[in-house]
Amino acid sequence: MPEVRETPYHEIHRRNGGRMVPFAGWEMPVQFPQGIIHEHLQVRSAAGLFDVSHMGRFRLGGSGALAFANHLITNDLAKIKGRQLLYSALCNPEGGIIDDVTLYHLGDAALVVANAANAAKVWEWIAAHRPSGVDIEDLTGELAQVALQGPRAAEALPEPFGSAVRDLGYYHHTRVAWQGAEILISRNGYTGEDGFEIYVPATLAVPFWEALIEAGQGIGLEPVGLGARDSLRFEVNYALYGNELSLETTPLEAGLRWVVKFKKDDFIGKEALLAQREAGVPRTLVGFEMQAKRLARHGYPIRVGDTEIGFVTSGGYCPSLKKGMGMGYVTPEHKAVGTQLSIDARGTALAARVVERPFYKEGSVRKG
Amino acid sequence: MEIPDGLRYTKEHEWVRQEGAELVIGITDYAQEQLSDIVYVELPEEGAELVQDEPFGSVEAVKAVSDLCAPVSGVVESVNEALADDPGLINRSPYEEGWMVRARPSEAGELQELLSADQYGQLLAELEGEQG
Repeated sequence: MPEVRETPYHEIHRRNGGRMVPFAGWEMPVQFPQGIIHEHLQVRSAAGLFDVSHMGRFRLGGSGALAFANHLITNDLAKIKGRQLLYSALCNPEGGIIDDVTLYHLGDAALVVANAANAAKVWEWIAAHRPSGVDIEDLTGELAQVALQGPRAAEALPEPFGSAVRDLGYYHHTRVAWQGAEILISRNGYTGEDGFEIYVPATLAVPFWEALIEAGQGIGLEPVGLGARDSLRFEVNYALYGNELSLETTPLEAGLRWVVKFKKDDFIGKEALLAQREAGVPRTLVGFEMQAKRLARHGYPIRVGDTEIGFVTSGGYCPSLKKGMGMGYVTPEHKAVGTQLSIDARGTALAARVVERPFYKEGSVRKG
Repeated sequence: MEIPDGLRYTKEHEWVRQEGAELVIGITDYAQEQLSDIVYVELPEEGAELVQDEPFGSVEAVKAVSDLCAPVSGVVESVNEALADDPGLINRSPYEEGWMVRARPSEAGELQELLSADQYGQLLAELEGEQG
């Protein structure tokens, strides 16, 4: 067994009563004593603080770094400038998704943020394709990463961060001098709310966390675990690798057509994705609401009548909507809103109905 | 962690309380805390047969689904209807308002073979120890 890794916040999580569980090779808090629903609603109404230091952080530098990064991703770095970031798929030549990543344009370099479960795979993929003139560096251990999310997130930022982000646009980043270090902060997130992702040198990770909690006291800022991170993203239908996304799915099937830029020069997976666009996707992602009280879960088969037409990718309870919802792949002829589905919950048929996405539309996330 | 005396417990974290000729069954404080935020409970119908160690229903929390295993064999006399509208009763009151089924036992000796409060407390101490 490989060693279980701990983030710089491990001790703080324990002190806060976090229930620590193994996750993608790390020991992480799935929830704190007040529970997932409480944390979820706290983020929707005020703000929450997430330790996401388990994610992979890789810096690509050197003269060819941006061109190389653009060749790896399906989205187009040329469409953004320095001080912006973008969300993208990283595909193999067959169009299968290796990971979904956030990519920071740092002017002359790029920062790739990968899912924890895929970090090693992404690192190997980048290393295997690295041309001469590009150097790559794994910053996962030396940088901590936190997400501050919620409609009142900006109020929980201590100075000088508060002033620095006042005019920061969605999917833009800036650097802030704090305690002798340059700290990268961006306006984005994984909850459907306004918020920030912040990259802090590991040596300053704990004092930075404490400064946030202190500044956020007035709005009731609390730590939030991975359980609510999942329920928050599920409610706004953000894809999760291992659920909606996998090597066997393409961005076109997963509702990520918007991150595939066919007008861009060659990128890995372009040919296969073009062919799939021509031929049509064999399945597509839909959202559905449960008409039964029992919940759908990842992996349950989806039927129409007696015919199996797909499977559930994510299912569960949405705390803001107070009902059970699900996402899953179905054959395209069954994707229309209103289509009646039957979810096979280990032998019990549960009625469900295709609905519009996202499920939760009231989020404070700023677009543009 | 609450472990009331006088109840019997299983390694799967269910409790059984004898009330006259009937047995009341639920899940323990430890179980509800591990599951947290219970959002749905599937319970058997009245008259359904319970077979010791066999699943008789399930509990769903935001992040987990668990089978309920019958601590003893018997026949279901009634189920806690209040859980359909408020499954959170199990989180708030696992040994009282969060009870799940009342059953008439069919195998006399089974109840006495279950864990006592002390034994169950030891089991939890061992589990906590493993988690370090």
